[in-house]
Amino acid sequence: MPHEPGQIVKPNAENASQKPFRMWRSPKSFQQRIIAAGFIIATLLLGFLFVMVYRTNSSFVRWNILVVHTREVLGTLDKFSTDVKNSQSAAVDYYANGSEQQVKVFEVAQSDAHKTLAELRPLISDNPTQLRNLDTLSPLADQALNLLGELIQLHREGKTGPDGLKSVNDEARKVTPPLTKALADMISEENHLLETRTAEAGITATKARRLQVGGGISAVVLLIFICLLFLRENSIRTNIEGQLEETNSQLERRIAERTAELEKALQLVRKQNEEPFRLFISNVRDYAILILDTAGNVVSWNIGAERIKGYRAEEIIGRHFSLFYTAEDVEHGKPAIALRIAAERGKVEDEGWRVRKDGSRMWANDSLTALRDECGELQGYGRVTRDMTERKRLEEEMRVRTAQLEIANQELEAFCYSVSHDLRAPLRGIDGFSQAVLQDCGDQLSNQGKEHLQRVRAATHRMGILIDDLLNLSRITRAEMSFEVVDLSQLAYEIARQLRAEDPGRKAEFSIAKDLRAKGDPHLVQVVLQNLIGNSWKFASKQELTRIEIGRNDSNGSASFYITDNGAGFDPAHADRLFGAFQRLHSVSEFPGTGVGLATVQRIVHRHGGKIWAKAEVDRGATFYFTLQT
Amino acid sequence: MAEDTILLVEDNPDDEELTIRALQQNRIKNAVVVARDGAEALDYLFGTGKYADRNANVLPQVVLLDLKLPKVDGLEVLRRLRADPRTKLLPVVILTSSSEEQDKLKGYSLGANSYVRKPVDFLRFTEAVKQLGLFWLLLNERPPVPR
Repeated sequence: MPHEPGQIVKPNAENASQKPFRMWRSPKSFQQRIIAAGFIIATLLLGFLFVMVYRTNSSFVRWNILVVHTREVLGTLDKFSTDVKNSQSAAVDYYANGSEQQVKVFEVAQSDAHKTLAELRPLISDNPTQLRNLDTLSPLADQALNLLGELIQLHREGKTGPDGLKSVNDEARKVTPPLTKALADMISEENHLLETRTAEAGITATKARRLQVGGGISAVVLLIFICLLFLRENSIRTNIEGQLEETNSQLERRIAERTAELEKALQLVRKQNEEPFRLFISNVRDYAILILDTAGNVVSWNIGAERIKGYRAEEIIGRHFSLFYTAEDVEHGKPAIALRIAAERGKVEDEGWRVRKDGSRMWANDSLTALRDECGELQGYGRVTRDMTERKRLEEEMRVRTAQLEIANQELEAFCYSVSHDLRAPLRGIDGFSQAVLQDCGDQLSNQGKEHLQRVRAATHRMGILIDDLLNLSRITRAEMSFEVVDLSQLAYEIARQLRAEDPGRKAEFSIAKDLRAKGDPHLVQVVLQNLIGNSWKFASKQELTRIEIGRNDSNGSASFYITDNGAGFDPAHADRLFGAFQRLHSVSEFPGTGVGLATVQRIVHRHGGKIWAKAEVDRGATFYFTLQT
Repeated sequence: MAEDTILLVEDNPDDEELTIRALQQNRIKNAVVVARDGAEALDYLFGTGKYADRNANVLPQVVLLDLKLPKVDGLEVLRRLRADPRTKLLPVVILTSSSEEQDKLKGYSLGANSYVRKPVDFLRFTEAVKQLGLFWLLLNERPPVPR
């Protein structure tokens, strides 16, 4: 944006605030990158540790469950062994002593042994070796328990002899070692498992501990490292910001200094400019120029104000401007309204009666402009008043005169109307009764008497024509005009055609230029041409060949139309009388006419804002010129 | 009902005399009734005032009406004739000295059948009356009588 000289360029607020911000956002620093990488590594490491610890822990738990399980299996095997021993001792005891009590103990132990074996199977279902061992154990156990049952049966049957016992003992000797071995195998297998599993559980527990401790330590170390980096970065940033802030404030200071300098310079320039301006204002005489404060009190006053309103500066400064208004206007609050509207819209104009110091009234045109400083704060009002009393008086006078003119016109209209009706009626009487005398008593009159009566009649005709011409002239002056483009060539052709038709035997040449156009009232322009061409036709009637030319001259940037003929012409010495009403430069006996035609033509041309003039010499034709708007 | 009379409304005795003379010279034998102002013309046509005992249903063949008349002027007479159903079709010829534009405009606007300007020249005046008589008394068909 180009700055005009003298204009104070304020620091661009946008730039000032954006610069440090943009620096912050510029490519990331090395530190920042390290911090980001550290965070990522720490996060990944912690994640990895978490997974590892989790996995180790679950493995430790799994091993512990297996240890517990193995212990349970061992417990069950132990219980089975106890059950078998209990049933054996109960059976042997019964066989030896016959105590029925022991039978019950045996039955319970036998059933417990069976139950325990049944419980054992699902416990070892995961171990095919033990299952195989159990399959070996189960029939042997059944066999052994059955043998004990047989022992009880033998006692009941009374076969307590050595034969019975021997066969059972033989059987028992066959069953017991494998049974004992199978049981021992199972226990040994389970013990072996217990050992292995306990060892595994111990290993995983150690591993888990190590992982937890190591991971925790490394996480803490990383975090400390990151924190240190972050703190360092932060301090660097704070440092840079501080520097920037300082640079900024320096810059602002310099701008403020520069602005102040400019302001000073500008004030100087203003003062230099203001002084003549103030002088100029104070010396304006035709306008009252005053400044009001925001409340409407007069602050400054010029010569024009003194001249127009009558107060001297020292009388009026500090007083409220409503003093200039009429009492009615003040009552209606007009001054306050003017201030309000000017403050709202910037400016208000008004025209009305105001009061001078001496109490006299004047018609004034006021404009009130709100004055605001650069920030838009209202500082006061400028008021310019023009004394329009004289113009108002002239307007009033003109209005009265227009009204008078209108009345005069109406009177003229009425007069013409009256003339039109009343002036012709007596003429008709004179002519009619002269004719009646001639008709009725013609034979009693002398020839001279008849001739006199004919003269009376001719005079009345002439008077009739005069009245008609006069009325036409008056009508043309009064007629309302319309403005349009008129084709003068076309009108001239038509007039020429009519003139030839009226006198077919006459030798005549018309030369009419093409496309003669002008702006005017078509009827009135036609009347002009009718009169001028008619005149040429009349005054050239004594020539052998009538020559009439109608054309246009363009010279000096203005156009004039002309009609020239080869007729009788006139003496240029009398040219000034040419356009007066009833003025004739030829006798009626020479050329008939009333002398109204050219007066009519001139009035029409003048009404169109044009000019008309003529050049001629006696017997050498005449040329009439006129101008119209084109 | 109709009669063959001509109602001449004319305040100027010279014009009256000359009109009648022109009619006679042109051998127009119809009776001419003369009203010397507008009010009299209206009295005659509507059978009021001094014509109260006249049968107002009997209308003249044509009315020759001057414009500048005492009491009630010609245009007002015409307006009242056109406003009345009995006379709204009655042939009215304005026969006057003026050829003022405003008169012609108002005359035709109010329903005049013709507008004839009385020439100053008596011979031309006679000719004009002859033409009028020929047209209005012989050639022209009367309007139907309003019922």
